[in-house]
Amino acid sequence: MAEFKNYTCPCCAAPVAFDGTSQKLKCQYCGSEFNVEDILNMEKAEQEVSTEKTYDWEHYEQREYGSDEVINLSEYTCSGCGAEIYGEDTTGATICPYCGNSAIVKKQFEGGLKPDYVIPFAVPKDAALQILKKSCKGKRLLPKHYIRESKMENVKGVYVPFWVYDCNVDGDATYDATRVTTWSDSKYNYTKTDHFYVMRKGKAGFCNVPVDGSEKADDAYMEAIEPYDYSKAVNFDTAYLSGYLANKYDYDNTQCIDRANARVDRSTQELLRSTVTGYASVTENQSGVRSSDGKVRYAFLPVWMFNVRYRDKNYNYAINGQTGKIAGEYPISKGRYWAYLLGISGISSILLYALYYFLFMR
Amino acid sequence: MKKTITALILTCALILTSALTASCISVDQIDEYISVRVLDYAGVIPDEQELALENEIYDTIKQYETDVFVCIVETLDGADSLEYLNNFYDEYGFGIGDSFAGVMLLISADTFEYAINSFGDAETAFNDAALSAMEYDIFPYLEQKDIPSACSSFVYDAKEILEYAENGQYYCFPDDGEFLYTGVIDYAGILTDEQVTILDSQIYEIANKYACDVVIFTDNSLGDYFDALAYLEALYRECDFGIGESKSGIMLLISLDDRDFAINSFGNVGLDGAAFNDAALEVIEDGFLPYLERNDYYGAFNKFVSDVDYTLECAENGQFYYYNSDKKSDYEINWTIVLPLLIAVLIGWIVAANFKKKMDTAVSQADASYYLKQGSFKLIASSDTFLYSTVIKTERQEKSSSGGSVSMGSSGSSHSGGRSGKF
Repeated sequence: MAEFKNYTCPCCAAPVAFDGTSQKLKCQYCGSEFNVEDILNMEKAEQEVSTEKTYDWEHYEQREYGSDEVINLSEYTCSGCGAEIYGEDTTGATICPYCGNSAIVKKQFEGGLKPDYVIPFAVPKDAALQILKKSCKGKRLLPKHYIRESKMENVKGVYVPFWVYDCNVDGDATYDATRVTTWSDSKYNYTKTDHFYVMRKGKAGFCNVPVDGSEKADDAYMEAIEPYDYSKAVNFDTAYLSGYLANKYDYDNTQCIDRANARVDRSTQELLRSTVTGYASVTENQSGVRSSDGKVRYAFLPVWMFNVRYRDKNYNYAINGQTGKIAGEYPISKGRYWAYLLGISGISSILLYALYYFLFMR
Repeated sequence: MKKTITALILTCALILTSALTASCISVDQIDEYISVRVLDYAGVIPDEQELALENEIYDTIKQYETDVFVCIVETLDGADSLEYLNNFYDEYGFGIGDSFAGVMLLISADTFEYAINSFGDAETAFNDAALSAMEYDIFPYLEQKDIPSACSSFVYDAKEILEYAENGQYYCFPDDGEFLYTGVIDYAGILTDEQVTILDSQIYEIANKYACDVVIFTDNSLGDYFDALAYLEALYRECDFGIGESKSGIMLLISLDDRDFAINSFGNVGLDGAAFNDAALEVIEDGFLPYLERNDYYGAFNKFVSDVDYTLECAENGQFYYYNSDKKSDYEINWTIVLPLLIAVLIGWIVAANFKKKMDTAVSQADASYYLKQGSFKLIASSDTFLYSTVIKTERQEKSSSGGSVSMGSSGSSHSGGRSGKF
């Protein structure tokens, strides 16, 4: 027995029936008529689209520090924020780079995951202040003597643990789109809206999507100083830690995956959406992303962390240790803010009055 | 060379000053100034009368420093009499003193159309009321086509008005037994004699000052009329209320049975009739209505009369009477000043907010677009399926060009609107 399929009206979801006179599918409820092949195409497109989201990540093999490696690492625990950092014995970490607390307890290095690779520091320490100064130019609301009156404290170079993801994705999406044409005759204005059902399917590959695995490192800061140039990444060696600190990760790769998935998902959708052109309006109907061939690596990425003390408040900054990109919060001078607000309002009002005068008073 | 130029300049200055001084005619020069004050182009005034009038006018001019002028033309040729008069007066430079003070009468011998107007400083003494009074006096003569008598009446009236003005008095209508104002007509008998007298005296003042009649009519029922306003208008017509040719006046009618009231204005009193427009009537209504509601009829009429007086007073000064009450807030926002300011503040706020946003650069990245492998994005499948079409038709709003102007009759009582209601 053949299977009957009930087709529904895309306008109002009521059943449509084949109308002999017009040779079209006609909706009993709203009266819309559709070509048979258009409805069939739509059904087909719908079926092709899968809205499930699956992520397939390869199981991460952890690497431990080998017993044969020469390790001269000490571990420190900060009593203020609980950060666990380690560095060479000789580093002499005395201040926590995350919270500025100086009560750090040094203890025996207890081991931890060895990163797959590291991007070494390219930006020297003294450059940090210069970078900060440079970033202050163009920040109009900054208090006048911010650089001069502030004390830059605790510049610390830290290797922040990152989980870095590669994957290939397949994405689908369907959209409702419209095209509008208007015209008029002597009596009426006409607006014709053509409705379309749009389907897109695509695939893409992503690599080196980073998610920081440290609880202490603010995710926003870490994402703000992206991107890193992975071509400069090298295999890890404890020698790179000399003079710098490193952080133990707090979240493992399975916990960080969601963030990577979210970013990849979003990019894919954006790519698909960018191919829908020539319409007056486009609204997303459904979408799905499936990733495959997922790879995970554990990397140490260099970050200069420091805070600036200005008027009894701490402002934290992170500088990308490789590219020098800076992210952080700057104090806002209330005086300058109001000066700009009122000043611009004043000038605008003068201009507007002048404009009004010339337009209407002539 | 220098001497000739100086001489030239001095001569020019002399000519200029003499010309300027010559254009202002002062009283002392009247005797030398040979000019006729009665211009009879149609030749309808007999010579002796003309001479008598001229002498009368000269006396008036000397005594009161105000010019009086009578002009009789054969025909106006369809022109507006008042316009003709004004042009005539200006062209021939009549009037005494810097303000060209004077009063003039123009009569057209063929149609007996007339116009009276006052100019310059004379406008205070010859206000609307006085002009109406003069009109009132000459009108009967013109009806009988007696132009000479009309002119005499005009000249004598002018003298009398100036005499009153000299004594600081308003010119009262001639008391020939006919009170020109209507006052209170209390058919329903709700006011005492004393109250009627007080109200009438107030109305008398108003009528004299502004040439505006005030009628207060009380009745028990509306009779055959279906609403109070219709009753009011019928009464006003039939009883011939109103002062002057345009029947200027304002009337308040109340009917006790159904507690109806109506109020309306007639004629062109006060800012050409605009003083008693709908808005003003509403304000006056708001004034007396509370009294009516508590059956304080005398209080209501008192308030009514004083409001009418105040409105006409404001109209004299060219102002509309805005009633400052607690109910109506006199608060008006001048958008031409406020709107640009609001927009400017908005712009300032947006720009400052933009600067503020730049002060925190630690922001998350929402997508992974940087990490897309170059050239890895491939579109596998796409389909754009046309579903259906909807057409919306809206009627075009043609810009309505209202042609035709509302023509106001130059004479005859004109009125519109009026208010009525219940109390």
